[in-house]
Order: sequence, then C-alpha cells, then structure tokens
Amino acid sequence: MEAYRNQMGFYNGKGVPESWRRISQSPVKTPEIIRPPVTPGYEECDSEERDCQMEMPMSPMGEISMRVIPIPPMEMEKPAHLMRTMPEMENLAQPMDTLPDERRASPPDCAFPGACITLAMAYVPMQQWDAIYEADQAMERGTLFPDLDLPFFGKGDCIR
Amino acid sequence: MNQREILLKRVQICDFVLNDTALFLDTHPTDPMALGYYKKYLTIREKASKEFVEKYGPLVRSDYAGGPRWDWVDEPWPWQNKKEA
Amino acid sequence: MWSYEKKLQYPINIKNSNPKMAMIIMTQLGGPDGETGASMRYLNQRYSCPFGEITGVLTDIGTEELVP
Repeated sequence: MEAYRNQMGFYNGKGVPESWRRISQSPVKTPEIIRPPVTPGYEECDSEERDCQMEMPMSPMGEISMRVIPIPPMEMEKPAHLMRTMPEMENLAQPMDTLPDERRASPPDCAFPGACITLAMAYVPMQQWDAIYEADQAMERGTLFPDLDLPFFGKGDCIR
Repeated sequence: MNQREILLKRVQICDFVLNDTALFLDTHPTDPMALGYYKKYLTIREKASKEFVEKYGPLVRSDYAGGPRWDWVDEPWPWQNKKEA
Repeated sequence: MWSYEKKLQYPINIKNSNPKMAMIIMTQLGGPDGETGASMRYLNQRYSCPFGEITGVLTDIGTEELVP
C-alpha cells in the first residue's frame, strides 16, 4: 500500500487529481469500515494490537494447511496537505480493531430465503438438455428450448 | 399452402432444429442426448431435402441433378414471393 | 467458407406492409448494436480463440445472423 502511495505521489501532492480535491472538499460521508468475520479457530488474530492474514500453502502431499501470519499494523503518515484535501483518508489511520462492535461485519441479510448469492461475482448458469419443443412448435417460438423462450420487446438498449 | 411450400417448410423446420441443436452442442460437445437428436434430424432432413429437390429444383449448387440445363438460375429466388405484384 | 442455400430460414408471406414493424426489424439488423455488425465481429473474432467450443459458437451464430 505504501509503495503504491509513493508511486502515485500522494505524499507530495502531485498524485491527487484536481477532481478528487473538489470531491474531497464537499461534505463527504465517511465510508463505514467493515471488518471481515474471523475464521473459527483463529481467534488470536482478533487481538486488539494486530491484524492477521491467512496464508494457505499447499504441502507436497497436496493438503492445504492453514498458517496465520501476523501483519504489523500499517503506519500511516499524515502529511499536512493530505489532511486538507482528503479528510476521508483520516479515518483509515484509525486501527480497525478499535471500532465499536456494531460496525463489525455481520452476514448479509437475504431479501428472501434462497436469494443469498455471493456479492460481486458474475456467473452464467450452464444450459441443460432438458425438455425441448417439438420441431414445428420450435419453429414458431424461435427456439428449441423452452428455457430460452423469452419475450421480445424490440426496444434495444434499455438504459435510455 | 401449395405442395412446394409444404415441402420447403419441412426442410426449413429440419434445418432450424439442426441449427439450434448445433449451437447447443458447441458448448456441450459430449452431451449424448443432443448428439442422438442431431443424428436423428440429420436423416429426416436428408429425406425432406431429397423430396423437395427432386420436384422443385436445387437448394444448394451441389444438388445439380446432371440435366441439360443449369437450373440453379431458375426462379423463384427466396425473396421473390408469388403474392408480390 | 460458406455455401448458399436457396431458401429462407423461415417462410415469409407479407400481406400488409407495416412501416413501424419494418423500422424495428431494420434497427435490429443494421442499427447501433445491430445484428449485421455483430455477426461481422463474431466472424472475425474466431481467429484468436483459445478454445474450439468458442470458435464453434462464434462461427455458427455469425453464419446464422450474417445474411438476412
């Protein structure tokens, strides 16, 4: 993270685009920092002093073993210009361990039972050869598969 | 619908079914039911096509029957409809 | 390489012309994000495919959509 910031010029003000400065000067709601749930059995990582990272090396026999590597806490410098231009960066300097309990992670609530799909992952279900239409019926419907028999609106791009 | 249209429609239906099954098989190359279905309609299509070509002329250039005339150039072409003026 | 079959994919008998429908069909065929442009893209994207299945899909869909 630090190398990235150095590269982007955060510490000398050059890397911050003008548009970011404008955005940061408007009243910005501080993003809620959520801590991921702790894997059972690795409660020692939940300590107040340090954060932990899970490493999963493969042993020669092919088993996956879990080894926990403690990461030293990130040392955030607070240069004066950064404080002026990006006040929301301030909060990241605060160690996440000291957040109150209600801001820690909880499992996402499902809108309804069975709708709990993992967020931010795209997937396409694989088509199966289930029931198919008879040949004449397929010709009329435009497809051999009832699953793909969807209505046609002819409007094109729906974003407009 | 006259006889030509009926026979042509039979070929069109077989071709459409084969096309859709081929698209399915492109992503599921080892599906046995789809393969069996494709083989079945291949024979049906052969039969329907032979029936049409014998009476009404070629559908592809290789349907040339060896006659004295190159009947590929004969009307009607697919976009020519008898209902047009 | 392609071969031409002297028949339409679906039988068409137009009794009454419908300009609105014609507009929709022409937009689907040639307009922005039209089928013709898409089929040319598919047919030219086949050459750099790592998987045979994808090459097959692009070939078949491009062929079906290329010619009205």
